Amino acid sequence: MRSTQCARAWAPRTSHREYGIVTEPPETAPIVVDARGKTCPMPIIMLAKAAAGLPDGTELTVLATDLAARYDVPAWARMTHHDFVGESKTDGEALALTVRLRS
Amino acid sequence: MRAGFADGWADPARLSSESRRARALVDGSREAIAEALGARPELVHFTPSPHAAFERAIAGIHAARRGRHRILVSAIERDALANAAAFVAPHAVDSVDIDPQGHVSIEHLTAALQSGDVSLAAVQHANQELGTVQRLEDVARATQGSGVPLLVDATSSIGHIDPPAYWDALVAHPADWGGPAGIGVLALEPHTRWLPAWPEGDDWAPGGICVPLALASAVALQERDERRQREGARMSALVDRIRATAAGLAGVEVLGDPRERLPHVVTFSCLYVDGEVLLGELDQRGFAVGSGSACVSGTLEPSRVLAAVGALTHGNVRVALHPGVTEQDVDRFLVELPDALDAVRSRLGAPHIAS
Repeated sequence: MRSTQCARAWAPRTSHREYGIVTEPPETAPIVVDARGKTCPMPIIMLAKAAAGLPDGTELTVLATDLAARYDVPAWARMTHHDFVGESKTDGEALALTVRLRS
Repeated sequence: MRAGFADGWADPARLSSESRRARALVDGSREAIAEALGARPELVHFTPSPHAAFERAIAGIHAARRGRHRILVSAIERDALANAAAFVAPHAVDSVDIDPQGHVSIEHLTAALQSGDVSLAAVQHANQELGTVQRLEDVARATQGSGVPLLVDATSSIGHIDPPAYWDALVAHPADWGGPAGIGVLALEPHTRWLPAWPEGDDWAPGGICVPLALASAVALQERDERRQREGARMSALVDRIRATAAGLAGVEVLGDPRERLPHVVTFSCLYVDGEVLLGELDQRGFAVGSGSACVSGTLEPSRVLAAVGALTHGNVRVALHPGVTEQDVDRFLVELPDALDAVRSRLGAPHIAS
């Protein structure tokens, strides 16, 4: 059930809006991938989708409430040859994990 | 086991001839296990479970090390051991780092031992998820250099590889070598000091142990060690094949040390896969494998072992080969695995992975 919804939600063009990925002004803030409330492996699938096609040096920050994201986002960066920048604080209970893309 | 029930039904602590026979069976079992472990028979104790062995070893050794408060535990020890340490030394358990292959950092261990306040250190022989076998000679050099007793958890290794050569206290689990559940083994070195931190004095199994279980444990270990000599190399070659093929798949990372490892276990993690769904997919294709993923074990915290080595904590497949597994079984698994991965990934809408 869940996977069917995911497949539909990730159709081209509508995906960013449906998953709440907000593109901030590019010269200042990183792209935010809001995966709060999602359980593994959805946060890193959302991250990978958001990262596809973006240029080197782009930073993306994943917001996640699933504790596994703390380990999975750095592991994703290592396995896909990007850089894990670090974890930062958020206002709420979510983790904020930032990666920098590298080709 | 039947011999144990036929001759070992009596209480080995009493004086009747039946009791003497039961006691002789326990002593014989202890001797056989001691020989397999390279331990002294009189210092091999049966306990009600490996958990009880961890608890008693940690509590007893800690009690004898008066004035020293902290316990060192590697980051990938079993929960049962880590919990026992935390119970004996509340807020005084320090985790020792491990490297990405799962080996204890000797540098970190040595530094942690410097404080002079360490009562004991616990490092496992082999890890049940990663398969990695620790370099206990190096670990023991560090602990001996500081005069700190070393507790080795060998519950995943005895029966699969040669017993460890370096330990001051050792815990083993008969169920892991094909023996019965409901019994544990604790071995001590002659120099290892301990004090009873319990009311029963030097009785390590209060209330007695089940004689048939002790006998069955010893018989199973002898059988397993004979079979290990014949089968170990074959199993290890099959695991090598799984490791090589899995490592070549897109978005798959094989964990643990490729050489210093258990012969029959391999774990790999797969990007963009729900571990439980992948297990179901493989199960449909006739393969029963395990997973270390948090979402499968039903807890919110991800696997400590996987987190400690920096692996993905989801999408893990743990393959444990039993002696009946053939080369053809493994080949078929390796043909089905990429299809199973593709099926799960496309259902989750996962992105394409550049290989």
